[in-house]
Amino acid sequence: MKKEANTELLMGFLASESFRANPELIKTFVAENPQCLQVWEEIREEWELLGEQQIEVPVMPDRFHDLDLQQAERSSSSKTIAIELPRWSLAAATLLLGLVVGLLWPRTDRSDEISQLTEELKKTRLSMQVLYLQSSDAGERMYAASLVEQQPLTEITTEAWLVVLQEDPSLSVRMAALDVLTRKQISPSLRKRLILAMEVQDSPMLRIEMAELAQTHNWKEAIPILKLWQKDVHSPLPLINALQKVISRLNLNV
Amino acid sequence: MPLSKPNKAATVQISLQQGSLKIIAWDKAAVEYKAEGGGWIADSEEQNEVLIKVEGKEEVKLIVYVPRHCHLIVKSLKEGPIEIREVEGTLEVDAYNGSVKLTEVGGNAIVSSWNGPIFASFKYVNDKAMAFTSYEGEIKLLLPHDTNANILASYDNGSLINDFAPVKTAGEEGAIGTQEVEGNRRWEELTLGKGGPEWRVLNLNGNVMILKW
Repeated sequence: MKKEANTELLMGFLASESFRANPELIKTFVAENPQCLQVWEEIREEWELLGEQQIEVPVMPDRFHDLDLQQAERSSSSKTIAIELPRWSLAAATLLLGLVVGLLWPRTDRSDEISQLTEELKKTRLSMQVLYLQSSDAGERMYAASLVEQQPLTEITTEAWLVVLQEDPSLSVRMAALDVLTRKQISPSLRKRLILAMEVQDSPMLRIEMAELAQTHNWKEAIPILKLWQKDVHSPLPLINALQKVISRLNLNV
Repeated sequence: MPLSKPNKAATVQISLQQGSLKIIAWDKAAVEYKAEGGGWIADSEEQNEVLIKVEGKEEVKLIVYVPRHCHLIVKSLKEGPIEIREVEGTLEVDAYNGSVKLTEVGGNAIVSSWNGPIFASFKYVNDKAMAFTSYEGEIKLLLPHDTNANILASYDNGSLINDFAPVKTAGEEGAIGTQEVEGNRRWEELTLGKGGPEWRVLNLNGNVMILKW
């Protein structure tokens, strides 16, 4: 059939060395379609960031191994994740596939290919969030928090942020994780996971923030944990006072 | 302790139970320290990863000389001020009870302190995210006048003072929205210059000051 034959031909073309060596060729195609040009620019920026980052995975990688990410989105599982992608090739291949298939097929509506490219962009951003969370540099882990603005949490990224909340060595990064997880509505399953995460918190600042969260959302099941924190000999006085208020209010709420 | 790879950047991790810590940049590919007081110190260097760990309940006065360009990870578990001078790179500091002072540093910083002011003056900033978090004590940042960044600031029992631009209060276009429940966290958005990496500044009891030099 014509469609399969065209696709086969196109894939052969995309795999060819001459195509990969000629990013200008892609630009020529893209320049003719303003919508593709816009999406192209977005993908280019995202992949440039990945292409220029050398992200190390010192002590964290094991706990991310359970995350069900597609193999194509994961880098090598060795200690150092060296993201050295050819700058244009994957983004170019993705975009050009959509563009040229659209050119070969009857010209009716191009919105499908734009949607497909937008989906690819979303997946790229999700992968970036998880990749940055694995960095040994706290600045890059903090950067992942800013990516959440552009890409709401999914099951995978929620799981990643929960791990960060419980295990990150930097208090500031754990505070950012708490903000990311609780910025929007908290589902019943996330509520349970957050209360479980309270058990391992030892920082007075995080304890205060999570106690206030428990009060805000009326998490009565958190009371035993709050009482344990109250009895902790290392708890400073402001924390103990704050916990007393929260426990009293939770007990009062019907 | 000389670095195994003198031409590559080092990561220096320092943890201290109790006492003061001063970290000074120098132009040598080595890490050296001087300690006064009690406690015992474990140190190691492996493939440019340097670890200095001070144990014991006695108060220690520790001065550490580190390569000018390095990744610093500093933890103070109990009492004691921390000062870092002229180091450039990613500076991660978690302090408990005591001030944190970064003087003429460069790069980016992730700093938290339970009880004590945070003061940071930057010769330059890079394009990485930053965070400053304090439970009690003023947070004061002194930045180059041409800094570009997007700051999210949240402060309870204090105010935001800045030299750069009017603050967009939550509810205005471009600001972060509030949660209208008791105990919510209100974030205010401040754009420095043309905007840039996201910096989070959170003070649970005190002022936030963002000043330029």
